[in-house]
Amino acid sequence: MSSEVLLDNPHEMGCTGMPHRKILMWTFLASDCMFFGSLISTYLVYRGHSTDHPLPEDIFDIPLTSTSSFVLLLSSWLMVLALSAIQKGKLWEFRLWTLGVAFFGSIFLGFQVYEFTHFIHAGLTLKQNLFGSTFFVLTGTHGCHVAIGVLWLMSLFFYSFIGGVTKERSLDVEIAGLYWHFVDIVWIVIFTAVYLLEYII
Amino acid sequence: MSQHASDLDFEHDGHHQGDGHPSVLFYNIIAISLFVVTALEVGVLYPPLNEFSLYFKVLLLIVLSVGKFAIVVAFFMHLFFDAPLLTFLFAIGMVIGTGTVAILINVMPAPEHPLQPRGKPAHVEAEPPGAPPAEHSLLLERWRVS
Repeated sequence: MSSEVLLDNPHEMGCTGMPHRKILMWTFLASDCMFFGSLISTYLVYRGHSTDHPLPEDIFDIPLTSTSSFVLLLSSWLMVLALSAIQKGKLWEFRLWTLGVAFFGSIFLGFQVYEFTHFIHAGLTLKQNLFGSTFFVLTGTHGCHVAIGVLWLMSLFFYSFIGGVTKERSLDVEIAGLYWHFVDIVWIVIFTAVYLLEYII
Repeated sequence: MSQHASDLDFEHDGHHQGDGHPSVLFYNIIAISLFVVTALEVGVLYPPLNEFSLYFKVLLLIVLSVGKFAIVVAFFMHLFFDAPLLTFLFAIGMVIGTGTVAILINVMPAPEHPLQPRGKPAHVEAEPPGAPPAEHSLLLERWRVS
């Protein structure tokens, strides 16, 4: 947390010595952990219970999913660079990195749309079997989080042109960054639990 | 920045630029390490890593995944540099989330006779004509009937 924000706006501070919004964001992320925990456990407990094809082994494309994982990691990297830039007052650098994060976030979404389309053509729908229901709900919810993150970052990008994003208000970017990194760590778990372990166990 | 973070800045001065924020170089090193770990994760599915035992591969994947998760949370989300209260808050969600996964997996066991994937695995030889159905086919049929 940058000390500039605390000095600039003392009402941000609570009795904990930290900004209210930051505590609220971490509390939300903790609750989202429980939410995704329930979705991931639903996928895992119904794994292998499907009585109809297609199954994960029939349709998963590991090289494609690995590429999208690298893309999301790359966007996370650009997000910390964007925050670092705005905390130093480098507005143009912030805009560049933020645009990069939104771009790679959109690429990730594009991969997901392609994957979903491919799966539907292969016969996997929400109603086809337990695998389809649990897979689409889990990855679709994650995709919604990514889409919200992209919209949030783009709004910060445009907001910066009317003076809404400054060094003194870098907390706004930090909170958006926390959300974006959370989306990344959820994908880290999904990529391992849903895609990679499928080919091992 | 909290007192806790200030102490860390002092301790890891080599990675900071003196304004209380990790340097770009530090973030670059973290990002490269994340890319390497992801490549290792994918590499578990391909030779030579896929020739190791099942338990080793599962353990390796879990360790790599948890490591990546921890690195992003600690450094990209700055939890390592922030007040312990935030770590505590996030830990509550993590413990309940992972606890839910662990308990549900243990409560609901995997099916005994799962549906076989389409096509035959490469290592299964073709059955001669007129041979009795394979054991797994009989088990699958029995499971479907039941």
